[in-house]
Amino acid sequence: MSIKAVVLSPKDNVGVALMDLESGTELDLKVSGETMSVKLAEPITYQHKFSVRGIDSGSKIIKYGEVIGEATRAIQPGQHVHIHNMVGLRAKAKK
Amino acid sequence: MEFLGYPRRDGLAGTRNYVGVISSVACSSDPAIWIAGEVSDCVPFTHRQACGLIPPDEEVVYRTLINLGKNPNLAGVLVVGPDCADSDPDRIANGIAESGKPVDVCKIHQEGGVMVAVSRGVNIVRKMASNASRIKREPMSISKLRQGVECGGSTPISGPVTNAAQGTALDLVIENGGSGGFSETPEVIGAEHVIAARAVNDAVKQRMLKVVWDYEERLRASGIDVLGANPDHQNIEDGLSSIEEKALGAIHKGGTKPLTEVVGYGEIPEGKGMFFVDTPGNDLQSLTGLAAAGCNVITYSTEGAAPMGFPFVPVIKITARRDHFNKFPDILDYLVDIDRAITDVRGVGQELFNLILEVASGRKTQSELIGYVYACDLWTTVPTT
Repeated sequence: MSIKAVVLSPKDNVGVALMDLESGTELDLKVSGETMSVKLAEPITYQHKFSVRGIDSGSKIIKYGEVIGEATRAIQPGQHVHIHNMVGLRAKAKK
Repeated sequence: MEFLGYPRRDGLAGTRNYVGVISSVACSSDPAIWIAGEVSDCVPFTHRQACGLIPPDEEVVYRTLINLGKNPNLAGVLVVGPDCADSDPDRIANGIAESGKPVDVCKIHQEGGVMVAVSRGVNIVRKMASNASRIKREPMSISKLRQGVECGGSTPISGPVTNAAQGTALDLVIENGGSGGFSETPEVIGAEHVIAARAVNDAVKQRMLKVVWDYEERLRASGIDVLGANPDHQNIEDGLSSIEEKALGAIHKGGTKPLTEVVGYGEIPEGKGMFFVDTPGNDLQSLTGLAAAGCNVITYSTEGAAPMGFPFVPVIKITARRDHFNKFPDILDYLVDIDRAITDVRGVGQELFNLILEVASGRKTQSELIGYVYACDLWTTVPTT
């Protein structure tokens, strides 16, 4: 495998690591002819998500071009996006 | 484009040519297995249900057993059951007979005992298998191919890689005039709006939303916290952060075509194109739902290396895990290269589509080769009496 990470839809604000990636890794991610460049702010484990742009607290997290949840705090570009800084809308509605 | 299939009287095509021995109820499983074991090209379908049923399960279980018997991969069927007020093997046999295939009943309570009944059953299926062996494969239009699509052991890679690969293969089956669909209703919770938006009309859209909401309601009524269970600990460790993210990955296996029909468990979709079958996420029960829906080939993405196939429908198991593919060569059939799926999903889907045609035409899957196909189950939703 040689592709390090992928952004699945041009609407997405997160990418997915396709291998374990070190902090500081610079990525140029092509999606639908556009290139999104991001430098990882922390290590990202295989299959985990990272932000490709700054995401305000309360803003939607988009993957596959669809909403998968919202940010529970501000997320800087290149940061790990997971349950520590996002919540699913269904899970939030239940709380 | 064509595949080589077995012609059936009702116009359908089998990708396999078995005689099925269907146990009408849990307690007739053993003789059903004995009978099938004595004759070549004869397979049992057994389960742990159908005793003490109350509505709505009674109707669901009977239609499921009938429609399993109608599956075109069976050339003939023997229904094995007890002579008991709680089971009606004749009802199942009469339903299957509508397909025009040879059907018979063997009641295990016979003068002289169970082994007399087994001996009689063996003779019936021996004759059916002899007649079936005279049916030859012939070129069949892809319109007679119905692909079931299954997944188990989701990771964040399943969606864009293995599920996208089998969804693309399903798109190709449909583009070539065939049909197919997916199931596992609870896996859709969180993305039902996305799949419903692909419905061909409002009735189909509302039915899609209803089966998901009804499922969620049944879980809630049982005291199960669906949001607590999804994503589970393993999913979270793997990187899935919400039920929405998990479900969006799961529905990739349904490809991109319009949703033409939503059917209940054990029902046969009538139309062409992509359909959804209301089943649990339990893969054994879901595979049965796909077989009862008339699927004559099934693809199954599994990052957890699920071991089983199905008695009379070939199950092609695909994974993106190279370590599993190398470690478990007799479980997994096809390795999806992650880089290729990301850059050329159409190419990977085409390759999988070609494998589907090959398997539909007779190439055996790994689970068929080692006979790991008899773990089966039926879905029931209410307590039994």
